[in-house]
Amino acid sequence: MIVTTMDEVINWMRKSSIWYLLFGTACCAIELMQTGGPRTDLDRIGSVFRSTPRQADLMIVAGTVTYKMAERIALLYHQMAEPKYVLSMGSCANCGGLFQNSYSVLKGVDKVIPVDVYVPGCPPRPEALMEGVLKIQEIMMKENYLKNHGERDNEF
Amino acid sequence: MSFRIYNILADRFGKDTLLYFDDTLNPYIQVAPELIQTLCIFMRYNPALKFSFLFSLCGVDYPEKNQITMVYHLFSMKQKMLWVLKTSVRREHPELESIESVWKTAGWFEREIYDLLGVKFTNHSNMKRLLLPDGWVGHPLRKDYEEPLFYHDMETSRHRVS
Repeated sequence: MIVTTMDEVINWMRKSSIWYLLFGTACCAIELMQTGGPRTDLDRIGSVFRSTPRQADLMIVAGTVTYKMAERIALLYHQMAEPKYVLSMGSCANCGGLFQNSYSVLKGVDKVIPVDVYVPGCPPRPEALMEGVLKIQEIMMKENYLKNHGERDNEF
Repeated sequence: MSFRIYNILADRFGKDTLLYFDDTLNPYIQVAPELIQTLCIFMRYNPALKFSFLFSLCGVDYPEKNQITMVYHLFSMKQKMLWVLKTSVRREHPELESIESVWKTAGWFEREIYDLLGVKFTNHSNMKRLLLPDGWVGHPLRKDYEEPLFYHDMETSRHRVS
């Protein structure tokens, strides 16, 4: 017999099936695919990609974000169901990175959507991205969904 | 080799309309903007030249000369040879004849130049911005372009504007 709280069970179920949005904006997306590949199998923690924002829990912003794309990213983010998480992958999504002096590049995706975990690197290795997803799991385990009626604790 | 080609062109158009420079890596000729379409048609279809491939067309901004220079890179499969053409328009009202009718691929290059440098190409089939959003203000590859502080409520600087 196992005794636990309802929140704990919900959190455990949620963190064991993080479905991320199939979405990449630049070369980091190649590394994102590699993370889903057999060597750093993201599937083993229950993480699979979904190609619609309605079914996704996590948005991995993989790559350079231009202003033209930023408006689409904000739209996709608002289409995702609560509770939702954002992982910013690579220097470009974190702060503009190599292209921060460009006229068309957004200097960090946190200018348009709230970000939970930043993964540094150019691009980050699959192991680093895996670590980022594990950090998302840690955040998920700290939530109290029942008490907050599905809203998140650390709302931005 | 390149001088021989220049001679063919000079016979047709006259020596004073074509300025020949060979101090650079690739020799090039500078022509007046009105002449560019006739010259391109000649270079493409003349059996002795047959420059069938336009592999690059780009624009350069020279604010000190008050000019925007278009650089055409041509290649001839028949002669296995590269050739460069240059032409300049004024910066205030940059307008140039489109050579989309000569090489279809030029249409894309011209749209890019319009997007980034603001040169309008006449007789182009679809003269719109290629990469930037349609509502964009200004042409960012001009040397005097200044980035606005905001684009559609998004900060354009890395640090917070207060």
